[in-house]
Amino acid sequence: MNNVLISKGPYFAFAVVVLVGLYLMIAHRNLVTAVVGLAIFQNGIILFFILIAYQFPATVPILTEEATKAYKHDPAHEQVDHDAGSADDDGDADHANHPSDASEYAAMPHPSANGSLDPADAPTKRPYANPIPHALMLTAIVVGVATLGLAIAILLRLQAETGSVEDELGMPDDQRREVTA
Amino acid sequence: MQLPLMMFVLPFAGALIVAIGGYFVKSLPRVTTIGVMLALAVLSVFSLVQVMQHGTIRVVVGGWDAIVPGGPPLGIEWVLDPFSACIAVVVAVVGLACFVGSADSVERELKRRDTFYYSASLLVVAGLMGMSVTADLFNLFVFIEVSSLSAYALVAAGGRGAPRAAIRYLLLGSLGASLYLLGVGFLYAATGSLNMADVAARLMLPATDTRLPVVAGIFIVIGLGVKMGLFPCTPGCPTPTPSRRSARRR
Repeated sequence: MNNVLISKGPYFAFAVVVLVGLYLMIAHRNLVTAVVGLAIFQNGIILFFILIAYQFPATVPILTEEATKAYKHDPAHEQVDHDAGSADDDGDADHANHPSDASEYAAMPHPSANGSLDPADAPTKRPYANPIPHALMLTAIVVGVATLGLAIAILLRLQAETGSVEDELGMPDDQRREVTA
Repeated sequence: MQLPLMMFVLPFAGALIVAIGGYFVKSLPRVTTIGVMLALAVLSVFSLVQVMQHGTIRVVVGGWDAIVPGGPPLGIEWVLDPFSACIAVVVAVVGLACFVGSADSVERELKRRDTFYYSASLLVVAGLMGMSVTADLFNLFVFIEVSSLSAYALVAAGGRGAPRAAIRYLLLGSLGASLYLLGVGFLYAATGSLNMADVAARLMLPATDTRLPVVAGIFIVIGLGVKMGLFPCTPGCPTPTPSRRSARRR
């Protein structure tokens, strides 16, 4: 049990954050609380994506010149280099087929192929953490900001029109505030 | 062939032109919108014919193909196959009919705000077109949000009681989209890929763990069900029809 808590602890944190958000959305009649709950819920999902991207000894995915050189001189990867057309003395004809950015990226050490899993090793020898979930979450954060902004704009209109930000769904009819617009 | 890209860019650029140009020229939004939708309908019918004759069109956006042999595609792929071309034709033709049919009532009811109405509606169409041509699970989420956010804004533009319906719609819709995103996260954890065809191929591999994809499927179905107002997810489903506006899609 203790072991599970330590190795999977961040995932429990994700579950707690998501459930807190869901609770705030459901349990309160105040719509501002619900919008805050929605934001917390979305942030919990962002936490989840960051968690699946991270493996313990992996290092930040920044392609250094050193790593590129070490990779190109490693005979184990010549085949891959050739396939991706990224060898330095290749003509321009190859680069017409492969965008230069993509072919440089091909020089990245493949994590499962040559990464050292020893955390004591230098960062250049360790595998890279997967950068794609971070890129995805950058987009998700932008979407979340747009949602929050629109929600606040609508709440302001609601406040101006009816003088309250309470949800009246499920209230008995005689307790509903009449709309005076 | 850049047909899939054009089918998204056309309404999206139209929305920007309407939003900016509408401030300077009064009659521009309506004319531009109907012109853009007409062009989009023609384009989608043309691309349907193209796809039926010459087969599926694939566009790897930015040229980011798979660079590790056997690895997942790095970039986003847009695919126009017969099915997505059919959906695109439906979206474009129904959208055109809605804009033509609603032109009079929009002029009557939203006198000053028709710029806003037309640009938000074009954004909805752009999101729907993107949804039908994309082959990437995360890109699909982004397009769902593009068209939903514009739809929330359109609902909020109605008369009395509209803001309350809109905020309820926004809360439930965003909850559904977030659950979908969570499902995509589980699928990504299981397969390491976001490309729809690639994910399908990887799920067929005997080595794949079946628990994660099942959980992912549950989250995706519940999330999209909440967004659609599908039966078990209906409680608290908003009724975003408080006013007498016509031709409100979705």
